[in-house]
Amino acid sequence: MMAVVAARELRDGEVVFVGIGLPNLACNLARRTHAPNLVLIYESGAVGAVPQRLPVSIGDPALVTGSLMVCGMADVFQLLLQNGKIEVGFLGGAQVDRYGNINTTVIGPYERPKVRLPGSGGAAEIAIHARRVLIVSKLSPRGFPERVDFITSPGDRVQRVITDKGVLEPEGPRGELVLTALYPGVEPADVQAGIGWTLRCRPQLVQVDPPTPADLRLLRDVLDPQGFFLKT
Amino acid sequence: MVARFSAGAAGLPFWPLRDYAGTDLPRANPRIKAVACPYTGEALATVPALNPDVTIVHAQRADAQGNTQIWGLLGVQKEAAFASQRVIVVVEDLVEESVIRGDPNRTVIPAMIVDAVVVEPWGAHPSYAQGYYDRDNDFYVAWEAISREPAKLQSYLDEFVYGVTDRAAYLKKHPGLTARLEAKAQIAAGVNYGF
Repeated sequence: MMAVVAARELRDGEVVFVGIGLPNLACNLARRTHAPNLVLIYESGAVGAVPQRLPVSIGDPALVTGSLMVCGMADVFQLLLQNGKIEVGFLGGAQVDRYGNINTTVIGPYERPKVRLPGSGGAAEIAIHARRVLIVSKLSPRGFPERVDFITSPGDRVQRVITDKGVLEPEGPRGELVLTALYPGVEPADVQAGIGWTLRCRPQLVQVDPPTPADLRLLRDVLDPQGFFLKT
Repeated sequence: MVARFSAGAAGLPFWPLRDYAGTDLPRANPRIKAVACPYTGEALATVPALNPDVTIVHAQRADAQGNTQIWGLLGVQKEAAFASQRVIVVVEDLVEESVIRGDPNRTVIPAMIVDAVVVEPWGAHPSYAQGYYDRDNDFYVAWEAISREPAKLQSYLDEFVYGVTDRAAYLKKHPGLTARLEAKAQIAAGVNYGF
């Protein structure tokens, strides 16, 4: 469901910075359905990638075959990302807070962390330079605290947080995340149960359509037949 | 990291970035500093140059002098090589200089910065070499269990690292590996370099 909702956010022809995992599924689903001209850019240097299999790593050789361009990582970060050529950036994270800030660095204080996370990679740069930032993350009170322990990626450009139960969007001058859309069979209380602050809801909540049979067939039979990413 | 190698490769002390606003990263990393643009006054973040003692690059082919051609994902191999004091290139194929000269745009690392060329087919396994062999994902999955326990790690190292004389012996310990991972052909058309 998350991959399908994320795919629907993408418009045909957009330039998208893609991460491995659910964002990758979402982008390739969009490319095979309503957005055949999506330009997928992977941090490792593949531009306009058309991966014939779901890449299991950001450095997967399947990203190269058939791409429009393959360049070095300095070109990706300097010429494409910092230079403002990326329209959509997809991010996930261990923690997302009330204002869409993301933590992928540490749980607990930085000096004495309880858990050391993978770190920024390019996530800080994507959050700062992509014109629209989409977050894909499963709800849980620990994953959605009032404040993140560490801001790896700022929430300023976040436009949607796509969760496993509904969609959050920033509202007001501070960009507080509010509930705007629910998946079939989900109540606002179910979303609140996975969020560590008192979640505000938009008065008119959008009811998200379930995945189409074609979406499900593509995801399960073509894009991720081994179920690497489709465990939920 | 990319920016730090870029500075190192260009012989500069630091690299400017429009970055880190709104993040906690500069607080956690004191080597991230700031500079005012001398032309516009804009505040820019800076990171210091990174200059490795040795950079080891795996590539598809090089000539005996070290002129190295790479295709597929390039990562920061060019920058890391130029930033480094010494450069070792490991290649799938050693080729004549005429092969390099026949397609000069594909040369990523020139001989002038290369100290040694090691010819070691399948040398990137369990990673891949574009056009030669695929990433061995089964190995990456298995590695998690091996690396979790010191005893398992030690027995792995004893058998597959210290216990082999060369890469050919390593491959012998993995029957069927080359057939399983060998790349399918996807040949690029040549271009006209004439004038």
